[in-house]
Amino acid sequence: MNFVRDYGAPLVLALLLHAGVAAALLRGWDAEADEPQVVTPRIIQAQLLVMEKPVPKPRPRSVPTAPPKPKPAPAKPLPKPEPQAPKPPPKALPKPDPEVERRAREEAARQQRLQELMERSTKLALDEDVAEESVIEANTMTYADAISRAIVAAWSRPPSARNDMQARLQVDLTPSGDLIGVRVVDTSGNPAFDRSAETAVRKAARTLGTFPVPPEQSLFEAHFRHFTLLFKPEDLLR
Amino acid sequence: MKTHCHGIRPNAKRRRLGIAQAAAAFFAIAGALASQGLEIVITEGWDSPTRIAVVPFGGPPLRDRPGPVAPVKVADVVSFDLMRSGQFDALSSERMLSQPTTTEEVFFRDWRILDMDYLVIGRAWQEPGAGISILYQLFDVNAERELKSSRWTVQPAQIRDVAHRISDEVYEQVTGIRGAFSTKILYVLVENPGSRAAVYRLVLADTDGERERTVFTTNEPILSPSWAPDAQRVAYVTFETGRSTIVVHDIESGERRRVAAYRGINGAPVFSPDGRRLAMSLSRDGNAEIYIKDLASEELQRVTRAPSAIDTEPNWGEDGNSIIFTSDRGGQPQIYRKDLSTSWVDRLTFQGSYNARARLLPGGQHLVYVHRREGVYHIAWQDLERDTMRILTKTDLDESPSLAPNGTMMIYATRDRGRGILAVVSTDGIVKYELPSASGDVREPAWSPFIDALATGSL
Repeated sequence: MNFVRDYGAPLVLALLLHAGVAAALLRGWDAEADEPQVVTPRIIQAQLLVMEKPVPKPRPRSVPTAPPKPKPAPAKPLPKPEPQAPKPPPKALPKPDPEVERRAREEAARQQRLQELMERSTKLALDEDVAEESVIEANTMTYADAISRAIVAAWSRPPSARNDMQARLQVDLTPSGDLIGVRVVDTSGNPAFDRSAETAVRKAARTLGTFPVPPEQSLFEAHFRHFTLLFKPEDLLR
Repeated sequence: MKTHCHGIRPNAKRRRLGIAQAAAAFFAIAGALASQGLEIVITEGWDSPTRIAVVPFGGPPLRDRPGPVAPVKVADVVSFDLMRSGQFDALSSERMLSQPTTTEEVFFRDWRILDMDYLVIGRAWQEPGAGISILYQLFDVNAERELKSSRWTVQPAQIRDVAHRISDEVYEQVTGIRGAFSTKILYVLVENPGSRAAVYRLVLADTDGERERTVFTTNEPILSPSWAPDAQRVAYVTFETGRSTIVVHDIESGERRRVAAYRGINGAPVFSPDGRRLAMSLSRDGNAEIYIKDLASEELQRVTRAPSAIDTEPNWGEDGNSIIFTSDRGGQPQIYRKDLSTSWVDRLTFQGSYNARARLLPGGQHLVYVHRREGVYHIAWQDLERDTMRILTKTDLDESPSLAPNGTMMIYATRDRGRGILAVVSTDGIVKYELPSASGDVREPAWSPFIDALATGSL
């Protein structure tokens, strides 16, 4: 009883404080909800996925906006890795640990994943495609991100550039990543702006030597032999 | 000016079922190349001055022409023009690996090694008659192609005009903004200031301060020169008759016409965008108010009515249908705008206790003015639609800043070691430089409108 009497008030205060902090955190979360679109975690995820091929779980959730490519999937990966693909990692990991518990958890995760996949598409055959594609897509993103960064660093906009302008450029590469050509396919209407974008691509190519492109031929053919760049500044003062 | 975040999105649309697959295949067949595959979106950049090399102009490329002519170092004038804009970084000629004067002599690799984005080459030669021909070419070093070339035939005295024209064309090609290097500045030069022997000169010069020429001389002060949109006439206030008088002066003919000599103050004349009317501040009815005088009919129209406030420093809206002015009607000087058709007055500035000498930037959406903050005067820049304001630079300016017609630069008077000098600041606040002046005190600069043709007798 004494305990309650002595510590009742502090307890209530502590609870209130916690509730307050929790509320503040939640609010802060909400306020910054606009930012996440910037896709910062992409690189980390992508790199992880490049290392261990069949870890499909994180992908489906984190990149719902970036749907899989149509081309690459049917190429090679289709035949085998289907249901087996997800298994290897569970096996590799659990061994040193208390096996039973691990396996149960992995199994549950797998079940859940399977269910998710089932929901995503009614056709079973497509399940593996999605997993496979998410890997490919992550791979693609890694290279695209590296290209993008080099171009951002090389892009100097003319003073007539405005935030509502946009120009689309077509880039052609060799399988080794050499720049064959770059041309404006959708003009911004401002020749100086268009040229600044074109110059950025050429300069990035020179700085990098070659553009980073995936060694897998299918992936290269699907996304990097020809791709487009959309230049639309969002950070200008006017 | 920062980099690092950018979005990437695969362009391909979601694929779920056979139908979608078929559709995708169909599109591929349809040849919609751009709509499939990867698209990388670039939303940020790293803006820096454009690197350009202006090679010293060469002699005659044509064998039948007499020797090279270079009374003015055209390349130096062009380099200096471009550098002054703050948007270019020009390579000095000593650091060039080669100095080509014709297309065949250009090796783009040389210029890429030097990290140049653009290259200007040119040549000048004496024509059999009297003229001098000047030709230049602008190259995009990265794309290895010629962007523009022009040729003029002029008198020797106009070589500087040609050089400024070249600067204008290069500037426009690269920045997308019309160049204003061929324009003029007008200012008041005071010799022996503060003494009885003081002489006031109205001086016309190139924007780089060269080729000064006196338009008008008097022993009494000259104030507030401003240009007509035709770049032929100027209006200013003189005290030559002992009291303030507004005069419109034709530069070429030298003809002067007295426009306002009312009782009290006659000040701050500004031409309307069509050049037919003159806005001014007069105190003929007691205190300073804004008036508009029609130059043809001489009809005077009173614009403001604030019996206890000073209304001055009028400036026209782009369409000539509104007047922006400074008024202390709220207790402190602030910027107001009056719509001439509806007579509606609204206040434009709210930050700080002193905002004055406003000028609209081309486009009419942005305003620059003098803003006092904590006792220090700054040039402020305000976006009228979004109502955001930025401080461009700290300044000691005590006279009205005047904008270049392309809105990128602003000239103003300041003091250096007790002497009045002219300085220029870019409207993004990045560049600031001072103009050389021979002697005496320099005041009241006014930047001319665009001048369409080369100076008289050209071509």
